[in-house]
Amino acid sequence: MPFVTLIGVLLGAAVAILAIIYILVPVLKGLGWALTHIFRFVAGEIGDSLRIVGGIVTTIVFVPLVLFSVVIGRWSSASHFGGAIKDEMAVIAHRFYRIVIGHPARLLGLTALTEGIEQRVPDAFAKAPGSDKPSKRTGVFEGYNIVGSIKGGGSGAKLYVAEPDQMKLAAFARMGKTNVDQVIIKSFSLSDGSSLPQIVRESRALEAAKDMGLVLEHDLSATRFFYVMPFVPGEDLTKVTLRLHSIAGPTGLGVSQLLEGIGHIADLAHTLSRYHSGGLWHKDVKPDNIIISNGRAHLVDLGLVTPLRSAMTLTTHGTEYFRDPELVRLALKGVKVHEVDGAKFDIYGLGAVLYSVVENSFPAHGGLSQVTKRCPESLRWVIRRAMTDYDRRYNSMAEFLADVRAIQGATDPFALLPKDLPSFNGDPIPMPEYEDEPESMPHSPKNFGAKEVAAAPMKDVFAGASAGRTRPTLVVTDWLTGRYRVSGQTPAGGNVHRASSPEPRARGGRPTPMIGRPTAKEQRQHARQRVHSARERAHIRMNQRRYSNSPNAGVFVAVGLFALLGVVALGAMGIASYDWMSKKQSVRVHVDERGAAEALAQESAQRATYYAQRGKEISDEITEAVESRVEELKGENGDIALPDVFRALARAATVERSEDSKGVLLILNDLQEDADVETNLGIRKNLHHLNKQGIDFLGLGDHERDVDLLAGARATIGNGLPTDAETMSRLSRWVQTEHEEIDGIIWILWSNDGRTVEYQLVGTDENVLRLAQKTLEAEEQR
Amino acid sequence: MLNNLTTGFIKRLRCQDEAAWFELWETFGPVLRAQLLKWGRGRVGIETARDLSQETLAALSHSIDHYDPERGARFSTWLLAIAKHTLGDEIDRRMALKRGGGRKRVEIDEAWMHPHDGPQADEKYEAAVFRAKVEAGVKLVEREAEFVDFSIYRMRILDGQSGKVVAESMGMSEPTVSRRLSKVRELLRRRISEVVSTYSFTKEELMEAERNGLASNPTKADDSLFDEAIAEIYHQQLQLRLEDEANAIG
Repeated sequence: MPFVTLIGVLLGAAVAILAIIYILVPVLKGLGWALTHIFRFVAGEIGDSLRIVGGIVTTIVFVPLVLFSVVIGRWSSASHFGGAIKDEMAVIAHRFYRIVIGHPARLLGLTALTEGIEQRVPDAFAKAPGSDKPSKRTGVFEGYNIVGSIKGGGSGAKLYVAEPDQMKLAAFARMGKTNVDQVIIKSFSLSDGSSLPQIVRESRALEAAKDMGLVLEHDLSATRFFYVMPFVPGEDLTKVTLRLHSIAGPTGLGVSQLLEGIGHIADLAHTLSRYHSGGLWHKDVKPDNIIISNGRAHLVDLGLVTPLRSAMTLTTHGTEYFRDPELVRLALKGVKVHEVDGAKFDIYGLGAVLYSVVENSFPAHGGLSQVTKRCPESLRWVIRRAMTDYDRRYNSMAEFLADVRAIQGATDPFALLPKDLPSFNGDPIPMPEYEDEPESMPHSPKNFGAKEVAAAPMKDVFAGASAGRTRPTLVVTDWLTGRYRVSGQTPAGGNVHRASSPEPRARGGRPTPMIGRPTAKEQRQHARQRVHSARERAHIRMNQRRYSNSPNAGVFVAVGLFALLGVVALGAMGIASYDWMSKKQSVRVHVDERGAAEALAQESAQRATYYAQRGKEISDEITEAVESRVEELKGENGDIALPDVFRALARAATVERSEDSKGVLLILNDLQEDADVETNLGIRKNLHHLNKQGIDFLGLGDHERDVDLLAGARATIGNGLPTDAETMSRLSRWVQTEHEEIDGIIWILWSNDGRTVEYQLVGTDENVLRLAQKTLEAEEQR
Repeated sequence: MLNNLTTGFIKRLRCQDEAAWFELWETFGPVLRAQLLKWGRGRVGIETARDLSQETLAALSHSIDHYDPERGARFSTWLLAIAKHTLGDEIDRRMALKRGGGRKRVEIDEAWMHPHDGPQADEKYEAAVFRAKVEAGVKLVEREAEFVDFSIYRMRILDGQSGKVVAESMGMSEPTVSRRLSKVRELLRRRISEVVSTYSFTKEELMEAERNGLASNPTKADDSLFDEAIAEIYHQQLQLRLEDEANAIG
């Protein structure tokens, strides 16, 4: 019996232990999990509720700041605090979503249902194209029926798809453009947030692009600028490449897919060759900017198109992997566009596009990227040659095109070797024919760039590149008309076209006389009219610019909330005053508050008067400068194109020499960021004294001209030091030969011990430098 | 003691030469991004890593004035310290924003100090920095050498084609291919040596090239070792840049 009992007890204990292990523990675990789950839910709800309360409190704090900023006319501050309110509102909305949907869904195990939805939805809204119809502020586009819109790129422009009416179609037909069913309107509106620099940048190459038939029409009004291009429906090259590779498989393209891809590249090389011979440079060649329509590749997006002979400084705009790193390097050195051959950067871009077609990937390693997929050795050569160093690259798009066409025309492209390519053997390069282009396209290319910008001398930035190359010699055959012939070896690229142009131009880009051209008097009258309208537009813009920083949504929310609070507060005050009145107590007026309000109003009025006067002065300065620049251009060219007015506007905003000025010096400050406040104050004080002596300065602002000058000076200095006589003489030569607008440079830098500030003076005008030296020494002694 | 090339480069950075900064960015950007992503795994995304690597190199340009050669720090160590500091700042900034969120403050050294299999992270990093220097040297040679010569080197050594195939492709004899290879190899030796010198602060860093089979004064027998080393480094850098690109496009 005891044995049976013992066995029973042992069995019972074992069952109990097993029950604890397999039932109680999981149950407790489950309970713990459920409790944790519920606790997380409750904690989340409480946390988010508190965050909402915090957000509301913060918003309430910001509201008076917005109103105060509005009252004293500080629009920027109002906009800033309005933005902060907008952010808070976004956080509140997000937390509200979590309270109502996120946390309950997680509690019920439906996380997958809602996961990431709070990110995806705002992202989708942010990426959505704009309204299909232009807003009232943008206005209508006369002669076009808007039928859709496209998501704009980084330029801030709005892109509309439109159908031209009969009048427009007739106008296009007169230009030789038929079959224009739909167009793209790229619109920049100051009221929609576009800025003047964007408009100036976009308009820079517009005249030339229009001459080449790339742009159908453009228009500029006081607040809006737009241009119209033919709409090319189709899919971009990225999608086409993906499709080709999905057919071909992972090892790479087969012969038919390869030939299709090469065909697109040949189309693009042909198009780019037209750009280059027309004096333009696309600057943003990449698969997303290439549309394949009816089996042909079209290059779109003229946002970065630049005249090859532009006098502007190179910029780093472009797209990574398709932009030559050398371009960035040169841009950072402050090199000008006309000092390099921009066509070579397009060649790099097209080489990178060819790589992406063959490899279905980006050339992440630049020129050293390896082609790993099946590809003819000759095509590998073409990619390498296009993407190699600037100096070793194809000299022109025509050379590139000749090689691509050789592969295209080979019986077996995979059997073609680099040695069989025309460029390898130095074969003569046939110039691309433009017969298949629209009638409006000139069959003999013109140098549109020369019309765009005053011709600038080609500076030999790449000394190594020019070695061994022979430049053509121009022999003037008729001094009266400027007619010339070309002798000697012609360089490859755009120069070939320019040199063989049947309509030679005199040096300096001055056009030859044309039959039917308006008389000088008529041109003067037109120019005056244009200047007058430009002046009016400038006035309007100046007046509007003060309000361009318009209140955002946050400001309206703030004002609304404040109004609500005001109503509540007034209600409360009403009740309180009723009690007081019933007790017949007097109410005191806080005289101090009234005084402060009056002072505030007075300050606002003074501020408004000052800005109104200053705005008028600036406006007058700009219009005067525009007028004088336009007269100057008129003297040079005899005709004024719209972009000239833009350039005049851009130049007008720079510092001009005042009447009593004794000289202008460029301030090259190497300390700026690492100097302490005291040192900076000392420098400012010294410059102030120099200014009192009648010396004006350049290089202190962030205007384009200042940036250009500083970049140029730094490029001239290179690795040199002020103790190095050669550096200083190079700098002096730079001032003397390239920048007559300045008399010298004050180079501010640390002394060798790194404790004191040194002022190195260099320049051409001895008197100014002596005066500056004397003043600085006197200040130092003081 | 710093060599002339290094001091020249430091001078350019001190003069705020942006092109010098870009050189740094181009050469060491991918290495830094990989390292920052490794440290900040799960905490920083690729965009932040890109920003931070830029900030690191900008900080390097600005702090070059404070570099003291007497302390004997390696260039790579110095770069790493600045990257660490930059990432630390970023995490601090985030924690300041999230303060009260109940999450434990990150220790930068956590990932670094964590024991794991394979070579230590710092060794990997040092190797990556060295490879970046060699890659910069190869790029210099690409710019400097004749296009045909460099293409031959590329086809023969980097793409691994046989001498016969290369000769046939280029329409020249095998001895000519071999002669042109030697020309590029010599140039590579010189330029790699220069780049390594530019980005080295210590003697030990200077000797790295020799330790890795890239001696500047080799015997004839070292040529194949040199080519192998270059090809291996080139392919490792390709992999690094492909990963960097894959991260960039998500």
